[in-house]
Amino acid sequence: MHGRLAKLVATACLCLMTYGSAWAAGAISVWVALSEDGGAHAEAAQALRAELDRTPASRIDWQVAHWTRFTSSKPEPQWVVAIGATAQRAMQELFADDATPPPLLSLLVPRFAFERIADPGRLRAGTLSAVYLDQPPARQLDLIRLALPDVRNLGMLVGAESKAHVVAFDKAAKERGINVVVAQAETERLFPTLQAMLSEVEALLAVPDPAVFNSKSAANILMTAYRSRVPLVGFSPAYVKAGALLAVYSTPVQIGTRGGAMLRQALAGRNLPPPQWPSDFVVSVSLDVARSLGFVLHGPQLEEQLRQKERP
Amino acid sequence: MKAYSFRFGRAARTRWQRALPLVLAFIGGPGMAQQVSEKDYFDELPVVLSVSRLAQPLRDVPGSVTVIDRDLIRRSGAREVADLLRLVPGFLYTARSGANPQASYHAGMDTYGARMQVYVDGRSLYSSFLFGDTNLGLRGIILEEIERIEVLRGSNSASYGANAFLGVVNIVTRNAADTHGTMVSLTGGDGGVNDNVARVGWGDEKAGFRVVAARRSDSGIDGIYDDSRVSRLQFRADWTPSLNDDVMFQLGAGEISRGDGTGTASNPRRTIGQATVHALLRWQRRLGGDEKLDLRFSHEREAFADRALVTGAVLGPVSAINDSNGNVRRSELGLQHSFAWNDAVRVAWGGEWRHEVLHAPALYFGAGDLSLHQWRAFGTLEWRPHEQWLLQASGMHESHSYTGSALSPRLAANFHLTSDHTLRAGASRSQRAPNFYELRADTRLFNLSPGNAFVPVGAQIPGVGWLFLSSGTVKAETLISQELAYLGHFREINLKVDARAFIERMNDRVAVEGRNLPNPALVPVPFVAVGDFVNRPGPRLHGFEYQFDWRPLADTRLMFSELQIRSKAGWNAAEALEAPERSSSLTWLQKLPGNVDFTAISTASTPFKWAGGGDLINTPRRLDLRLGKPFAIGATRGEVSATVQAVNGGHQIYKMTQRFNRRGFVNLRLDF
Repeated sequence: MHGRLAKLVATACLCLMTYGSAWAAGAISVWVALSEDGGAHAEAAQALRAELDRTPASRIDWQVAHWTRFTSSKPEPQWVVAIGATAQRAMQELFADDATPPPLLSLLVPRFAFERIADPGRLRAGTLSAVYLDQPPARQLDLIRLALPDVRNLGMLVGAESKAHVVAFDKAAKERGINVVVAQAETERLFPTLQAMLSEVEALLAVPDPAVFNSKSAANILMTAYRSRVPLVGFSPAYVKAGALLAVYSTPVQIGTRGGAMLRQALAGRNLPPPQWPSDFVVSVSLDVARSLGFVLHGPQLEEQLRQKERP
Repeated sequence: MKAYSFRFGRAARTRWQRALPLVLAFIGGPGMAQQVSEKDYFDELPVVLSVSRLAQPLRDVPGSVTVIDRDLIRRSGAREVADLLRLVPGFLYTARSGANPQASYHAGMDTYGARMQVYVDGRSLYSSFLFGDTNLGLRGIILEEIERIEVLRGSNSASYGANAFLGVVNIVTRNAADTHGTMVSLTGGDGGVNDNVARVGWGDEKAGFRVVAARRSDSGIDGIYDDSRVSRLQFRADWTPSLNDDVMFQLGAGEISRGDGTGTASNPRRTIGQATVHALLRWQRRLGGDEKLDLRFSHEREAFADRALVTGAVLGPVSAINDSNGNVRRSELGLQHSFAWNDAVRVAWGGEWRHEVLHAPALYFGAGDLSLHQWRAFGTLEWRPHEQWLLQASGMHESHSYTGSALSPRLAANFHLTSDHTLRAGASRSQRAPNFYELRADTRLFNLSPGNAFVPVGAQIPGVGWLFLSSGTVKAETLISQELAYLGHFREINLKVDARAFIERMNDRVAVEGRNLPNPALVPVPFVAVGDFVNRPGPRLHGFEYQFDWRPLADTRLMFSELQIRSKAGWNAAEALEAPERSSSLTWLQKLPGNVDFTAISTASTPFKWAGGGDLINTPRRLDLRLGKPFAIGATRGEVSATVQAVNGGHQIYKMTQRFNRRGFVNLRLDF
């Protein structure tokens, strides 16, 4: 009972503050809804604010909170930023009945999750955009080419969720002279499938799919691949720490910053840019694993080479 | 049709399994259990490949190591480990008979592999029965079981203890987690080649199990009695109770029966048998990122059957049973602890206890059971004072029931010119402990023939009937070696170079010498000549060996290795002939169009003479060819291959009278 009362008061305060301050000062009202408090989501939100505050063209009235705190669409903000898939879904639903909902920028959401959630109507109308969390296939394959030039057969273990990635990866790989060996592996068949694949490939590329790569299976995948001396290319710093040879990823700060730049562009009166891959990224290498497998790799150098490749 | 319905069934099941968490997630809240979200990117993972789990890179190893991996084993067409060791720079190959193939490092000093140490998953194969033997143990290895063979070229008693004298062969068999499913391999061909392997593996990601049954037989070298049959049954279990623990358990039993004997009265043709059983338990526990405990216990029993009726004349007909029957059991318990002292210093230390009991009443007259204890304490300090320098000092102190204690030290300095080019200098002192026979032999022949006026039935045959009597004074052999080595990787042209120059001085080589004992019992034969074991100065070897491993094209791998060696006899002139001046091997692995694997292996050496009865033989070039075609039918993978050994014609081997003739065989292997 107490909790409910407190929540009501908090919501009322939030509404009052938002409405009151925006009305009082004529500032632009921006909601930033987080899927989770703290962690990567908060880092991305901070970076977003820092990027906009860097060049204070117009005064912004920020409302940064967990998505559950935004219980009413009124008073309507001018912009909404959702950080995380849950927040994106919630913010879409909140303004679902609104004929002219405020533009929504989704950050820190993998492309396939974004596309699954995204309201096609709003996408068409250009009031919904995103900076994806994952990396474009071309970038990942360019990295493999740079770091592991001897790789001719690249293994991909996919589940029902991630098999949609295959077409794009296959196309990008062919353009780089790499043959992608794909195996669909659900939890029960994961290890026989992996073992059969390891004899055919020179490297393994992990793509996110909780049915294949999760905190339970990752240890066994990494150990099995290592016993076959097949390096694993991961998709997050956690994979590199756990034992992947290397990974390319964008940090929450990089994505928040990019989101900030997009928002600034939109605030300046232009349209919200279309959904896009993150432009900035990090290449991380596990030096111990590289040394043990006989590779000589340097993360920052690979990162620079990869950037040069992407420069027009 | 059947396969289709099976797949459909599995897919349907899978869909349900996927759907269930979704339903639960929906009920439980807005989670997305099986859908990709940012959680996949930000979730923490346990550190799996910590430093303590990673293999030390070759550039940091304090010795020269050649690795033979599973792919090379398969594509070599080899049937035995000894065949594979021909590819390792510095290794020489011979076959005392078709049933006794063997490889030895730098010199053919013995016919049993007593101066080499062999480990399989940490268990020593060294058998101290008779003259010390690793060859028989190596014959029992099933090649399909091997993940890789790491051959340490040089000596390293400081890390591996006594008998790691001239070469250490470290065999790592496949983790049971990697061999789920069924495999069948059938080989047949010339010379009675008939090899069969069947393997069944099962388990899940926490525990894997495997049973392998194998039989390998052939009729050996033409014209001599050396048929052999090797049979083995093995079980291996790997259990990972937690991310920090690996437990491995093995049970194995095997039998080797082989023809022997030249057909003379004193060495009749007969079949020799050896049977073994072993159990191995190994527990590796990671205490932190850099800290590891490795506990190992093994128990092994061997039984030997070699009895022959020998005949002759000593002032009349005599005959006797030459009996080498016996059995030995040994247990080993070892513990190693390794950790990083700080960023620059790593330490490994531990201890080992070994206990052996031997029972061979005919070889050790009147001795009953013989037993020995060996205690070992060892330590290695690895210091990286600068990123280009790695200094390693190691030492092992061993205490032996019969020969007392000994220290084997080793020092090595690795200097990384760049990350791809390393120079190394090292010095070490290693030892080979004398075995039971060298210490306690007393082997006599007792007359079985009636009608000899001077030698009654049951009496010891005078003159020649006392084969060996060890004076028991023999000391351990020692080897002092110095080396300079280079390890290079030219990435632009895919070339790896491994070169080692060495000086090896052997001291106190154990040799057999006859000595005459007075024989007052029988006046016409005043002396008895017996064999005894004595220490003599050993040879001094110096030279260099190298290997180029080049992948000029994606489908081509060329390996060339060569040994250049000079030997100076320490005791008798024949010793200098035990090492060839030059020995080389060339291996060409090529992927042909149509996914066909082609292999050519060519080996040759200049004349040398293997100790223990070998002749001075110029081993001509031997060329082995293999063609293999991997295929897949549905989920079944397989390979069909044909191998011809000595395709360029037969050649003499070990003795002038023995020829290794051209031999072809085909293999079919199925994995399903």
